[in-house]
Amino acid sequence: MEDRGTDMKSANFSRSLYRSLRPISPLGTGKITLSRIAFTLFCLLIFDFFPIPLSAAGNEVIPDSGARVYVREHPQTGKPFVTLRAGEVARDPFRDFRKREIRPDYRMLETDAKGVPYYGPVSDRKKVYIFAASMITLGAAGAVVTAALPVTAAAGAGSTGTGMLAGGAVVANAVAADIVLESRIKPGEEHYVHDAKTESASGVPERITFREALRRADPSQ
Amino acid sequence: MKTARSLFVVLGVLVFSGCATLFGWDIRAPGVLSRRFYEHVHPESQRVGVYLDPALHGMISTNKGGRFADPQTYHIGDAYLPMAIEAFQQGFTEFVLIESEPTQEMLRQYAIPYLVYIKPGAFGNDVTLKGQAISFETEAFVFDQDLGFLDRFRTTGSSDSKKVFAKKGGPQVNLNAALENNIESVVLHIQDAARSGRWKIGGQT
Repeated sequence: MEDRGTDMKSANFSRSLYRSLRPISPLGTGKITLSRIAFTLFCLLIFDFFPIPLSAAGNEVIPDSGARVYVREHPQTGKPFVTLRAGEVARDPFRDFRKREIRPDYRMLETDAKGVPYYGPVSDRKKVYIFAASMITLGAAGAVVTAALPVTAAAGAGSTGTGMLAGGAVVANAVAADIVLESRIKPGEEHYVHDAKTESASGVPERITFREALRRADPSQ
Repeated sequence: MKTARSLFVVLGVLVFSGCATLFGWDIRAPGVLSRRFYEHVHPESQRVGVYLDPALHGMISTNKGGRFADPQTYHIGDAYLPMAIEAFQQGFTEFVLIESEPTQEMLRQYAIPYLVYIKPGAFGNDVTLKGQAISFETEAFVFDQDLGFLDRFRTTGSSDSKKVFAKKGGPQVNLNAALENNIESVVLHIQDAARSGRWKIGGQT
């Protein structure tokens, strides 16, 4: 009974809301007059200048970074990838790109070089666009800009994603030990030596800029 | 008088333009990874943000690698950038290139657990009568979502080969190999650290 009462209440509320909205609807069954068209245009202008945020501001934990999600195409492979950029309009990171090249065969540097068949990567556009969409969901106020050199059309999308944000905001801090790693990958086979040193940081996360973080990691900066 | 003047102009052009421009080797690597890279590096299920130092864009070196060697201009940045992006695309299932300077808000908003910042180091070139050895050094810094420092490592990729300049495309491929070795090491190091959980609290996964 209680549930039915609630249903009735909501039904009544919906009906009253519909009634209250009907007279101001210019696209309703009523007569389309000049004043209604003017009113609609006025509303469109107002909402365009002062858009209603799609994300829930009440329980928003992380402020909007102002960064936007872009999908770019790798000039050599044609494989799309996701980029983030804050501030001004994205510039082309491959502006000096000339033409696509064939994958080099390093055996040509040896004396007895022979041709090797191509087993290169296969472009999977669908996958990267799904990833970009998930990034936008996390971003809560982002927009996809398809950047196929040069950057062109944009299609916006947004949602809350606070739960994921809250989950993603878990911080890995207070690592005590320092690790030193030195490794040689296949000595004799590879033409390089790989030395790596890991120095773990400790302490409570604080609000710092990238430059400050870099200065702390490398005081010579 | 006119002939002497034109001769003077020609000599002036030769002196002031620099030998590398007129007579030297203008070496541009193909800027694409070899098939070997795809055999060595397999995708790791991890979201990684990469910020490449702006100094890498258009980075060149005129290190000719020997007193008697021909002048050489190496277009390092033009090749390294697309190769690095391709390498991270292959190395990580969720790769995000960060084009502007990263912020804590940006990393948190898009739930990027690891930020890798790569800056260029020394470019080595050793030209001998037998061949050429090229090396390229980079330094990588790894930060967490709060820009907390996690890791720092220096990587040198090199390629040493004989009769490089005698072969068509030899110096170009040699440079490509050195850059690829560098990137491969960087990606393998990050993959290993992410897989082993070395960057997490107390070294636990």
